[in-house]
Amino acid sequence: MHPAPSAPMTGPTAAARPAGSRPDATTAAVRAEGLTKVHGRGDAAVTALDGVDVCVGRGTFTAVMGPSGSGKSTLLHCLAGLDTATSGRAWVGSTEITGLREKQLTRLRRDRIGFVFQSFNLVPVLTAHENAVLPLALAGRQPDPAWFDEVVGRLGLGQRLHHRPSEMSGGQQQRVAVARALLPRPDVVFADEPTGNLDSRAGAEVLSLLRSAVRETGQTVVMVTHDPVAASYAERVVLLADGRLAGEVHAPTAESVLSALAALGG
Amino acid sequence: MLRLTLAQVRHHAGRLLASATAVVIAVAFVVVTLVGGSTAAATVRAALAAPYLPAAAVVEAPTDVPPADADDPFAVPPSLAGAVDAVRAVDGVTDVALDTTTYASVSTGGSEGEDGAATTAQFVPVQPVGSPLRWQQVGDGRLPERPGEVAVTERVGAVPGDVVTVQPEPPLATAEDEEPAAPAPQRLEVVGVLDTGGDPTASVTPRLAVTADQVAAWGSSTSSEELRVAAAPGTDAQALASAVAAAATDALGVPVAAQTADDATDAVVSETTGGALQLVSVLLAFAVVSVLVAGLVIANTFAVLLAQRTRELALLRCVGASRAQLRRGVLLEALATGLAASALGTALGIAITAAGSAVVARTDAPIPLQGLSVPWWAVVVGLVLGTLVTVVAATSPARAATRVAPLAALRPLDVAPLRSRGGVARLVAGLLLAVPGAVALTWTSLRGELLLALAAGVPTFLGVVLLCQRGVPAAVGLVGRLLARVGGVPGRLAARNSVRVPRRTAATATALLVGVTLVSTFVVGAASVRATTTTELEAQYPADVQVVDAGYFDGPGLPEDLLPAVAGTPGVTGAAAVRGALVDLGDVTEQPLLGLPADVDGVVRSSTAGAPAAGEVRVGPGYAFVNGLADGDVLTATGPTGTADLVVRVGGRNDLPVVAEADLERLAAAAPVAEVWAAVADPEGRGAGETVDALTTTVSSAAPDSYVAGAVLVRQGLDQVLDVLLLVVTALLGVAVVIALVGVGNTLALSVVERRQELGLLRALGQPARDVRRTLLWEAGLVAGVASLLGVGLGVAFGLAGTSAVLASAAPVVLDVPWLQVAAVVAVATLAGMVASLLPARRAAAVPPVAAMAG
Repeated sequence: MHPAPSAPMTGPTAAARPAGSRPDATTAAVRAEGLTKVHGRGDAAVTALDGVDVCVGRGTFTAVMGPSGSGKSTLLHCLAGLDTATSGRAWVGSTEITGLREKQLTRLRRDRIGFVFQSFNLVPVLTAHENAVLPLALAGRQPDPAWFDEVVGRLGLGQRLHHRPSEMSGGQQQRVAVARALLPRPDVVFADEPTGNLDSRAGAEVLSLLRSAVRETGQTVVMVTHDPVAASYAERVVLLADGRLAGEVHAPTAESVLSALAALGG
Repeated sequence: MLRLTLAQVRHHAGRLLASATAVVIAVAFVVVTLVGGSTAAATVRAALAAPYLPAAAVVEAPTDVPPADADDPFAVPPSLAGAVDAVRAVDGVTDVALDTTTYASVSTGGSEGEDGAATTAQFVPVQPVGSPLRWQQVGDGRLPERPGEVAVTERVGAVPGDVVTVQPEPPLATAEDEEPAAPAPQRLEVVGVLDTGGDPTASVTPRLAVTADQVAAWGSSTSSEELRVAAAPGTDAQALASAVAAAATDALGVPVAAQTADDATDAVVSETTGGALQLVSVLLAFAVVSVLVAGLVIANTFAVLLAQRTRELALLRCVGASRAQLRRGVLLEALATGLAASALGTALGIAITAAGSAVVARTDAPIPLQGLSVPWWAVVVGLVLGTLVTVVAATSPARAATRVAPLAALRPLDVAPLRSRGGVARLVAGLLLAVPGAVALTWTSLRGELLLALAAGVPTFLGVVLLCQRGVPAAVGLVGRLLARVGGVPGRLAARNSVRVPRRTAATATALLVGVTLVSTFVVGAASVRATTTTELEAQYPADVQVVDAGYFDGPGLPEDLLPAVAGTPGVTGAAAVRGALVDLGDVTEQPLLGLPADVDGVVRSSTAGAPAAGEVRVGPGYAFVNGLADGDVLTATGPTGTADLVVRVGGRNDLPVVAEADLERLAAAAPVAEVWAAVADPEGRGAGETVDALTTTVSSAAPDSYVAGAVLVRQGLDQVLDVLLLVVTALLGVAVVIALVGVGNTLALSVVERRQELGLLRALGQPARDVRRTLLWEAGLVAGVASLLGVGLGVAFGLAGTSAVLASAAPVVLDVPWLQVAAVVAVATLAGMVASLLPARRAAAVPPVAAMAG
């Protein structure tokens, strides 16, 4: 496991602390302050994120929602170190990732962040097993056997470990992707529309797996979705509109999320 | 559809042209060969035609003697000098030049009594100032104007102001007992250096131009004559030739032939350039190999490009395009690409030839290249060949790609299938060609049947290439498994990726394999020829170096102090003096006989070449056969000072019979030294050449009437020829290898485009950019390495078979595989493959992690 933050946070003052951030900064898994992302320049400039402050507590399951073009994918990319913000700051655990160089970002992604993508994104030439342990292999580490067995058992992948992605159904592929995200015990798992390419039954399975990872092992999960049913598996829904925070729903249900989205005027 | 195709070509122009690099290179190679050959031919023609340019007709020297002298064996055909006036009187003739060419010994060196080595040179006449038939040009100084002056070619090695000494040959004998004395040597002042243009013979024979009177005065046995006839403008050359022939025939009383100047030029050009044409056709054969390899590369590139456009092609089918329309569109695309690439290649080829010609002009290398002669057919051949190869290569991928179902546009893009179909036909065809071919090749090459072996070699090679389609992916997979163990994640990914689309891997590897096979065939062939001849040489020469008395057995022999001088030469490890005398041996009178001292055993390379036992004479198998001798026969030898009965031993490597020195002493007391034998350190190495040079210097001062021979000399000469030949052949086949490597780079570059999302994923999961690059590097190295390993294996087999087929009928073949060179071929091809992956690898590493999110 990763060490706890070694030094108390000195950055944000109480006044500057975002309103929606209930958990204390020291227990935050992911945090952003004034995160802004502008694509293009001059007249062609498009502001995808406009001063977003957000804080995700450890061991929580957060969904990010919003209409198309609200900036939810950009937010995810910037928080995960896949994309660099134009201004503002972001932290994963106690590490400020804005300002990190490409090599450090690569290490951070490898060691402390897990990803689940809409299109599964398994490496086609590797088996399920090899795909699942890929981040560990990239780091030159061996998976903890007990943890491996637990994750694989929980995801029901035992029978399929030596198949290639092309020999598996979409739901199975996505479960391998979830295993790949969970195995290194990252600070946070980012899921980008993880049910977008799945039928509702397979989608429900994957969401339940993510939720149980949060409840039973204290994993932090941040998920971008536009599906209110998917969002209802989360503990908290953060709403975005036009690149700004536009509200939150706690203990969401599909109905409460729908009405909150409707209230955005979407 | 045409508009769509053109839009496609424009849109993908960069990628298409990059893929067509192979065609550009191959076409450039062909065009360089054609234009270079044509330029060389034009240069040679211009140089050789120079004397005939101002002439209208050429009268040849008669070959018959006058009927009155028919019974005189010493009679010679009359000189054309007697016909000059008659020819001059012919209507339309403006001038006549009697060109007498002769050969004489020339030495340079300048100051009195200190002449350099003499060489035989050709003397040509210069017509007087004002004659329209005066044709020579000088680069420096002027042409000779009076006897005693000379202009020389660069080959002579003299500059204006120098003095050369000429020893003319004696004139022809005119009666049986006459031995004409040679004229006294003459000293000539060099007044100019001739400009020989692109005459290819200028670098071979030294040539000197003197006044016509001077040559005529020497009139020796080596002279040859012709009359060049100038005529007024508008004269019919053919009619003039007939007229002057008739006039000369009347004047001399023997038949005299004449031809037009154009015909004379054609005759001399074809005499000189027969070899050059052969060279061009050999070069063309190599160019064709490059074109074929380029075809393989292009076919593969098109297959990949079209596979990437499957969805787009399916979409076109969805909106109503017929299969035939799609195929036409794709082929049209290939046509446009091929035409563009061929045009580029043709231009490149012409530019390279022009550059080469310019470089040659500046460095006076003995290569006949001046200016540039671009025949229209060279351009047409380049364009048509390149376009045709591209279109033909694209045909099969086009058919496969356009078989796509319209539905494919609606489905998510399938992962490329991991198994290719249709391999069985290839497997069967490959086996049917390769197995009987290989058996026939082995059989015929062991028996030295070169033509049959060639006939068997072609289907064998084709069969093996077909089998490679099956075997290469398997071999790559096998080696890849090893790599996966040591290469970490990048290694494992590279190993799996390299067999992802087996057909693609096979095609990429086959292109490289063809080139590597041919290169290593020549490498192994050259080594085996070397080994075979080395063994043959050892059988022919008893010692590494032999200093042989030129006045063999008739005279004082070699000086006694030559032996210590030879033994003291650096690099000589042992030397022995071999005495010789003429004796009557059995039925043979005046048989040269060598007496070997006991210490010769330390000099010769084989025990059968050492000194025979006392009372024995050793004769070679050839000598024994000719003289009907058998082992154990007894011969009586009678020399100037004694007689002995000697027991015949057949064996050894001498062409001359040998006895022990003591036996020779009894037959011919105090016989002179006939030869000095020497052993040199490392006789097969480069150092032996220096030792031979040092020995030649020693010998030429210590014993001027001798020459140096021996196995080492022949081997040095042979090595030089083989080395140059191998270098040239490797360079020529190198073009094919480069084209194949372009193919490796192409395939990788296209696969990077295909795997964009996957590469993004690896970056998102935390693979450093360095490792992404490493994956591509491993992948290229794996395919190139396996291809070159297989190619080298095949090349070794073909090289051994080829050597055996060429040499088996002449000598017992010694096969030799130069492992170091063979390993170097593998290493270079593999490394070059990795270098070819650098650009695609950089592009792969530049894929941003966000690309994983796309789609």
